[in-house]
Amino acid sequence: MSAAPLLEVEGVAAGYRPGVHAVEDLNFAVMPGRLVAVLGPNGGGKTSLLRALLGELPERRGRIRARGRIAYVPQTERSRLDYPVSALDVVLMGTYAELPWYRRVGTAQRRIAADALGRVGLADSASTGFGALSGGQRQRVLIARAVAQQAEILLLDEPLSGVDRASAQRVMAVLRELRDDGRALLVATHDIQQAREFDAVLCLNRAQVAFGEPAPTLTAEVLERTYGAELIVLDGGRRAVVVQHHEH
Amino acid sequence: MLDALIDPFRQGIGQRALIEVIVLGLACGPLGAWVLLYRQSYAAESIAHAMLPGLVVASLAGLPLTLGAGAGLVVAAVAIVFASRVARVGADVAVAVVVTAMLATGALLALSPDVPARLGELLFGDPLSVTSGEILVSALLTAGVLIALGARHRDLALAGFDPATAPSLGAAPGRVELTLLVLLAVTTLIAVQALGNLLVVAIVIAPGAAALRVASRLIAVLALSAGLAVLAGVGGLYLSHYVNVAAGAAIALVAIALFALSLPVGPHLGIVRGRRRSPVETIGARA
Repeated sequence: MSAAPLLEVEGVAAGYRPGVHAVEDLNFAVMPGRLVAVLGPNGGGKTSLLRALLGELPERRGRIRARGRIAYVPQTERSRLDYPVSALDVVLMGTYAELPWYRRVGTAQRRIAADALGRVGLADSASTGFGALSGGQRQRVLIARAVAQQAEILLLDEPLSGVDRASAQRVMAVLRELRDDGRALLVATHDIQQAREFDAVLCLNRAQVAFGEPAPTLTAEVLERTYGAELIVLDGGRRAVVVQHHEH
Repeated sequence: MLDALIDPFRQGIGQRALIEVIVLGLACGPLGAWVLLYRQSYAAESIAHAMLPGLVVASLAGLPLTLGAGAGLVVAAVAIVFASRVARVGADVAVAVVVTAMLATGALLALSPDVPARLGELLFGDPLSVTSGEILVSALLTAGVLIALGARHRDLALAGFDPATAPSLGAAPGRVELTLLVLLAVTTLIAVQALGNLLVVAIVIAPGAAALRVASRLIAVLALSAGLAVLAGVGGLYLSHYVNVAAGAAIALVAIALFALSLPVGPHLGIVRGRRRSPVETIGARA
């Protein structure tokens, strides 16, 4: 494993409007082969962080250094199920940015997409309609699309929400495999228990609260600063439950 | 039998109408499918209706109809921008108010005793009155629309499917949607002369809606939509010839009939098929 981080974030603040930062004081570095959970309340800046890393927020201060291509994996809960595309069509979209508009999708792109679909265990579902897949399968297709973008850094927005437990485990297994290939993955999640299985956690509450390995980082104090009033701590601090209102 | 098929197109009028509806169908079909995928069918209707006063004024003043319709669209667009800036008036309310006002203004102007006899054509269209020059304009338009749709196909697919991720995949959703609406406006501008202000919407929306029910891949949807739009145009001309009804209305009715036919067909093909899984699979055995 190389010593240089894939992603370095130094003193970054970012927002949607001039002078208003949705998230600030961001300082962290992610090495290759690391799976990082991004924890925080709704409105805590998880999505803003991901969008800032993609360069899609108009307001941005500080320094973001990425040694590799960054790909974004949206929540499957927001996917359109009525769109006439197959699983392979969706993964192929990951190759579009590299293809000039006057060139057709060819065998090279199809091979990249088929390989990516194989990586997430869905080679047999290539021609199945995207809307006909289960929630967990759709999430894996969207992950395959990021793989087809040849990205070393993957940003995932709540990939485990809206899928049942068995599917969530399949998704987690895929994420671990991609990490073991040497990629860096940032996974926004609201599941503190799940975050304990990651290599590192980044706690956000409009600013960075903590960053580090889960066991020493996820203390009762950090969780309370991250979630504030939304947090209910159980079992003397060994378990924590977050009460969240989902905005859709 | 062959005679019956050829009969409506023995004369120049019928031949020109045939070419016009085929040419327009090739543009309106695929464009309509995209308009539906972008959930913009309301825009298709609004754009057509907002043109009416411009059409009437041009017809009263003896100016080219395209000029009048284009001016009508500009007035409507400006009015919508201003209306939507008024407090507590959202964009959809602004569109509804402006489009209704434009349609009503057009209807009032049309009651003027000076209005030439051709006005009915503005509302309901008359493909049988198209000139060779208008066919040429339609052909150029169709070529332009198809080239634009082909060149921007991947951007359209990306931004329609997943606007939130599209920028990082290389497509700007705002720009793509604007391109689609401009193509829609230009197409409506040209097609309105043959198909009429009230009926042009049918040939844009109905074939796409039918294709989306039956086909499950983008390319198949676009090709089928083009085919159905052409079929509606040609079928409408036959209906008009043999039942002796207005051609514009007949084309719209055939387009709607094709959509109605797609309703029972849909569930056996395409998108919906995959949803029929056994309960065990649905619960997550394959998840």
